[in-house]
Amino acid sequence: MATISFSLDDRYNAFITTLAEADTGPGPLSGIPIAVKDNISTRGIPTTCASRILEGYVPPYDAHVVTLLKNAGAAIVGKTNMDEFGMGTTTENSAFGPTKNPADPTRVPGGSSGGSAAAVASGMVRMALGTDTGGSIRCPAAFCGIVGHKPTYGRVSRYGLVAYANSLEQIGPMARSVADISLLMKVLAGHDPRDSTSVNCPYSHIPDPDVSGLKIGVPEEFFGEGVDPRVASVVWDAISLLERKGAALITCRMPSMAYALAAYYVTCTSEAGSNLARFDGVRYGPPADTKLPWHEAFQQRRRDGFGTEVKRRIMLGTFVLSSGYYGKYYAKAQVARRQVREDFERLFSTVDVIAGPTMPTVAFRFGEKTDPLSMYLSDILTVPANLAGIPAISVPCGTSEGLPVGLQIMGPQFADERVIDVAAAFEQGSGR
Amino acid sequence: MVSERDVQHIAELADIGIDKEELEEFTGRINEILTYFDILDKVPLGEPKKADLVNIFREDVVESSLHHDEVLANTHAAEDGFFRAPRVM
Amino acid sequence: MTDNAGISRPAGQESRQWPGEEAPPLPQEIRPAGAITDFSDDEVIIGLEIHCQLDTKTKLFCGCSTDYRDDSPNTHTCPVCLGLPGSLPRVNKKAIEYALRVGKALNCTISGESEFARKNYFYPDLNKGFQITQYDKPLAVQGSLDIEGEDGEKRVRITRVHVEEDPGRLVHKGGADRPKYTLVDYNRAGIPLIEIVTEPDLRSPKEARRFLNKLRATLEYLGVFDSEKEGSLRVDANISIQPRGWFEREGKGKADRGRAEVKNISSYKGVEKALTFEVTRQKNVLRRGQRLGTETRHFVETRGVTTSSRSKEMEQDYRYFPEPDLRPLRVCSWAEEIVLPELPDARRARFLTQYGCSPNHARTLTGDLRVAEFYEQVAGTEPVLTATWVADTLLGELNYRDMVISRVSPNWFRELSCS
Repeated sequence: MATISFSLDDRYNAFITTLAEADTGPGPLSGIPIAVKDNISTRGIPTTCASRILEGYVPPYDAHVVTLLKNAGAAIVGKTNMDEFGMGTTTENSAFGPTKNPADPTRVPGGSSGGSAAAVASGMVRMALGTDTGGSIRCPAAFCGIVGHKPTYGRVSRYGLVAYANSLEQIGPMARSVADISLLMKVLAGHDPRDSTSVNCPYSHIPDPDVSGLKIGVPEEFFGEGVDPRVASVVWDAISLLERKGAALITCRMPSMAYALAAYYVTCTSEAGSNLARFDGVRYGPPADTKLPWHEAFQQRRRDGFGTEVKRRIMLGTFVLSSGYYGKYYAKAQVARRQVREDFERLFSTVDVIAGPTMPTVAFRFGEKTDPLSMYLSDILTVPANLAGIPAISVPCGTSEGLPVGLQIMGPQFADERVIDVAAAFEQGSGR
Repeated sequence: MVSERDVQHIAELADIGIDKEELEEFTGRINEILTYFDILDKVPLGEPKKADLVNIFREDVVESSLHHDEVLANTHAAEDGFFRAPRVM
Repeated sequence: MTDNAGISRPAGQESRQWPGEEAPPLPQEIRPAGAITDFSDDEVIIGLEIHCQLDTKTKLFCGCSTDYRDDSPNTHTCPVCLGLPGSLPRVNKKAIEYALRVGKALNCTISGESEFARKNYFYPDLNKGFQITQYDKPLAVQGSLDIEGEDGEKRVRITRVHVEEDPGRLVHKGGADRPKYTLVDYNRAGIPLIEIVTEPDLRSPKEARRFLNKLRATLEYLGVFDSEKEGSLRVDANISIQPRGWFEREGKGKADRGRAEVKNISSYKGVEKALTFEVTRQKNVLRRGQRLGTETRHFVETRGVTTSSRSKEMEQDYRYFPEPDLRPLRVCSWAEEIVLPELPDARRARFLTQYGCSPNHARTLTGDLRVAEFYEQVAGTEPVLTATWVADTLLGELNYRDMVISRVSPNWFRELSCS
C-alpha cells in the first residue's frame, strides 16, 4: 500500500476537506487521485454535506462506492464542496463558501456537485464522484466543461449517500474524458445488498464511438422557450456532428415535459423534508441544547444549522405531504412521473438516444440567481432523466460567450453503455 | 395560497425555527413555488407506475453491530452509555 | 374538585376507597340536564390496537441482534438502526414470514401488494425522525379471532395486521432538584413489531382480557412471539360507553358521548385494570351530565388509574408517504405455501378427544403454549386426573406466586403425581 501526497492550491474552493496523504493500492484506479463529494460517507473523514448541522460529523462507516474505490486502488484525496444537502444548482448554498468555476472564476461552477466539477476541470484531480438528483452531476459538468454521467437508477449503490431524494438520486462519475467516465463506471456499478433499490447490472464496457445508423431523437421541448438561442445553436452544431458521423436525427415531442419540473420538486422536497428530520444533534452534529425542552431544542438546532434554501425545501416538502394536500401534490406528482417515463419509453421505441442541451444557459454569475423559482426552472432539461430513472450524460461540446456548453445524451433504462458510446463518438469527432 | 400564519404552522409541523424577518420572505417565495406546482392539477387522472422490483429481502442472520465507542464517537453528550437528549416530559 | 375517577368532592375530603369507585347518582335537585343515572341500556365499546415484538434473531431493517435485554445501552446498534446519514433499511424476510403466519392464523386476506410507509414525527426515541411502518397498504386485512364472550363464543373482527419498527427506549432523568433531560438507548430501535388492530367488537374489560389471552396464545403457538420477554407486548385501547346498539346503527365517527384512548399499556392484567377503571371513570363523567370528547390517556400501573395525557398526539399530522428506500411486497403465493402449526382451538379439541379432559380444563390447559406442552409431557396414564392437578392445583399455585410454568420441571411433577 503506497501513499500519494496531495497539497494543491485550492483557489476555487473546490474542497471542504483535503487529505495531505492518501492511501493507494493495486487495481484499475491505482495511483489515481479521486475526489468524493461531501455527501458520500467516508469512514474517518469528516462528511458535512456542506451544512453546519453536520459540522464535525465523522462517519464510522464507508459508503459502498467508497469501498469500491478503495478496492480498486484509488487514492481518495478529499471531500468536495456542494450545495447544502444537494439542494441547489450553483454550489452557492454551501455553509463553507461558494466554489468558483475554473473556466471563469466570476461565475458559478453549477451545482450541486460544483466542487467535484471544479476539482476535475482545474486538474486538481483526474476524476471525482458526484451525485445527481435533478441534474447535479450534469449541470456542473456542463458549466465547467467536463464530462459527467448520471447512471440508470439502481446501477450504483446509494448505501452511504446522505439522502436528499431517495427515489431520484444516483452517485456518478465526473472526469475530463469519456474513457475515464467509463473506467469509473466499471468500478462503481453493480449490485449492493445493503441498498434495497440496487439492481444487479454491472458495467464492463469499452466505449465504442461508432454511431452509424444510430437514431437520435431531438425533442422540440429541449430547444424551446427558456433555452438561450446561443446555447441551442452550439448544441445543434454538436448534434449535427453526430449526424455527419452517420447518425440519423429525428425531431420528436415530449408533452409530459410540461409537468416534469413540478413533479420533480414536489417529489424531492417531500422526500427531503423527511430525510432531514434525523438531524437533531443527539447522535451527531453540533449538540442540541439539553437545557431546553425537546421541541424547542430541536427547532433551534434546525434554525441555526440549516441554510435558507434547505429550510425552504423542508417546509415545501412538509406542506405538500400535509393533511389534505397529499392528493393534490404528491399523488399527482407520481402520476406525472409515470407519464414522463412512458413518454421516454414511447420515444425510445423509435429512437436509440435523445439529445439536447444539458442546461438552458451557460454558467450564471455569482449572485445572479436570487429567485428560487427561476433557479428551479434551470433544471428543466435535466430532471426528466431523474424522474424516469434513465441514464444521462453531459459532454462538453463548445462554448458560448467563452463559457462551456454541455451536450446531454439520454438513453433507455440500463443503456448507460450506449449513452457513453454516443458521448465518446462526439468526443472523438470533435477532436477533444 | 398560504398566509404567513400557514407558513408559521408549517414551520412548527416541520420543527424548524424561523425568525419573524424570514417569515415574510418565506411566505412570498413559497407562494410563488406553490403557484407553479398548480400545473399538476392538469395532470390527467391515472395511477403511479407499477413497481418492477419487488420482494427484496435479507435473511435473519445476525451481523456485527457497531462498537460502542464508534456509536458514541460523534456525540458530545453521552452518559453511562446512553445518548443525552433534551427532556420530553 | 374532581379526582381522577371523576368524582366530585368538597376540597379536603379524601376518598377512603380505591380511586375507581362508582359515584352515587347526584340528587335530582342538582342533577344537570343530560346526566345519566341508569346504564342498563348502555354498553361498553372497546377496540384494541396491539403491538407485539416478533421473535426474530435480527431487527426488522438491519442485522443487529434482537437479544438486547441484558446488555448495556447502545451495544446492539449499527448505522441503519442508529439512523446515521446515508444508511438504508433492508427487510428481514423472517419478520415477514412471521407476520404472514399471524395474518393467516387470524383468517385475514393477505394483500396482493403491500408497501412500507414513513410515519413522520419528531421524538428522541425515533432517531430518523420517521418510523417505517405500513399505512394504506398493510400486509393483511379483514380477519377474525373467536373468543369466549359474555354470552358464549364470540367472533372479534380484525381490521388489519401490519409490520413496523420499534422505536428506542427513553429514560427520564433529573427532577425537583436539577434540570430534567432524557437518556436514549437505541438497542430496541428497529426491533420488528406486528400491529394488530381490532374492530370495536369487545363489550367489557373481561372480554378484552380474554381476547388478549387468546391472541397471545395464538402468537406463541405460531412460534412468532415470546410473551415472557419484558416489554414484548403493548396495547392501546379505545373505550367508550354508548346506548346499546348505537354503534351498530351509527358506526364510527358520528357524534356520540366521546371516547378515550388509553395508550401504551404494557401488561395483560394492566389492560383489564385500566379498562375497568375507565368504565367507572366514564360513567362518573356521564353521571355529571358531561361528555368525553376524544381523549388520550395513560395507564399508571402502580396506582391502577388512567391519567389524562398532555401529549399533542391528537393533533399530529404524520404526513405518511410510501417508503422510497424499500420495494413493495407481493407475497400472496408465499402466504399460501405457509403451513400453520396446530393452533389453540384445534389443540383444545384434540385434548377433549385424545385425553378426555373436561371442556374447562381443555380450555385452561391450551390457553398457554408452555402449559399445553407441559401437560402433554406429564399426562401419562392418568390424563384426566393430571388435567385437574395441572389446571386447578399447579396453575393456581403458580398464579398466586406470580411464577411461570417454565420454572417447573416436568420430570419432578411426574414423580410427584405418581407417588
